[in-house]
Amino acid sequence: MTAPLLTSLSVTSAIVGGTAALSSLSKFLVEARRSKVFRDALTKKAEDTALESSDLDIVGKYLFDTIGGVEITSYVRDAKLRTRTEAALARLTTFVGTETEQRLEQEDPPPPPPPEVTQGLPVPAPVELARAKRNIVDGDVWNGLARARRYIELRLGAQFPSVDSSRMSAIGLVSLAERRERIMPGEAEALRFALNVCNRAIHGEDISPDLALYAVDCIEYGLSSLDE
Amino acid sequence: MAGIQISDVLRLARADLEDASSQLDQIYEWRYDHASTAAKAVVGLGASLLIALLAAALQHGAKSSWAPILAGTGGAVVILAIGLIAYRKLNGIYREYVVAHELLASALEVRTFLRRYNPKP
Repeated sequence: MTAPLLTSLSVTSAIVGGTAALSSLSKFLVEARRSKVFRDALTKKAEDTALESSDLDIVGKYLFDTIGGVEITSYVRDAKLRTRTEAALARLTTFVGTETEQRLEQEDPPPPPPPEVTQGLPVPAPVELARAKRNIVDGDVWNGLARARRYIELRLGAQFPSVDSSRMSAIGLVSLAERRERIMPGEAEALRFALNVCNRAIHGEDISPDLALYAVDCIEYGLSSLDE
Repeated sequence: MAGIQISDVLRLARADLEDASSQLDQIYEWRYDHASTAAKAVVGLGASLLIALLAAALQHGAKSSWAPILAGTGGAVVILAIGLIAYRKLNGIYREYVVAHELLASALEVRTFLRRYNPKP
């Protein structure tokens, strides 16, 4: 190899090495920045806003755009991001319920309470339940029942401030309220039936508007003694 | 190479595929092959440059200026190091693969919910 060729090779090697180093550094910085953006987006507040909306589009958008935007590489490398993503996914799964839970529930569905239980309910219904009914009447059964189920979680969760109700299923809250005698056994049965209907709808089963409206009435009945 | 996002796994669970898990295997197999080939190529380039420069420097070093040779050798070492780091990161792809399967299993548990929502393409 001649001296000029050696110089050319050295210069080329230096340029390629420098470019590779800069490119790796810039890739690392971009990845770190992306991780930070997602860490910041995955806040408890954003999670609450999505889940408390009980709206299919908002919950879905949060799942696909906010949680879904996280790259698996960042998820594996960034412990903070992983913790936040796992917490958000766990909470979302509790909100939606798993298919295994749904299958088990379907094997032994709670019986519908007699229609008399929904007679003599106070008028007007609580605002959230009235909105749920409006959703159902407008043909938006999923959002109506998701809203109604969220209402159960909020009302029962408020009874037990020491319990982290966001991590507990709605069925679990009903059982807790029944055990602690905040609601009567008949009311718990009505809530279990209503939750079964809500969960079936949230899991994609087509629920007739009549059954959905009856489930909302059962929720109103099931929670009526909490108002006293 | 664009990374795999959680939404890709959710879409896989959402799609009506019997073998979503095998599809994920294929994606990661391709990803591993791609990353492994790229790492080998970079290590090869770095090592070749380094050997060529060192050999040439030993042969003609006294007649040439040392500054470009040192810069070139530094460049070759950087390329070699980047290749070796990329090689080490291949283990990370295996961890990603395991995590992606865990996420897929969780996503399959809420598959019907995922199907009701229409994400942007």
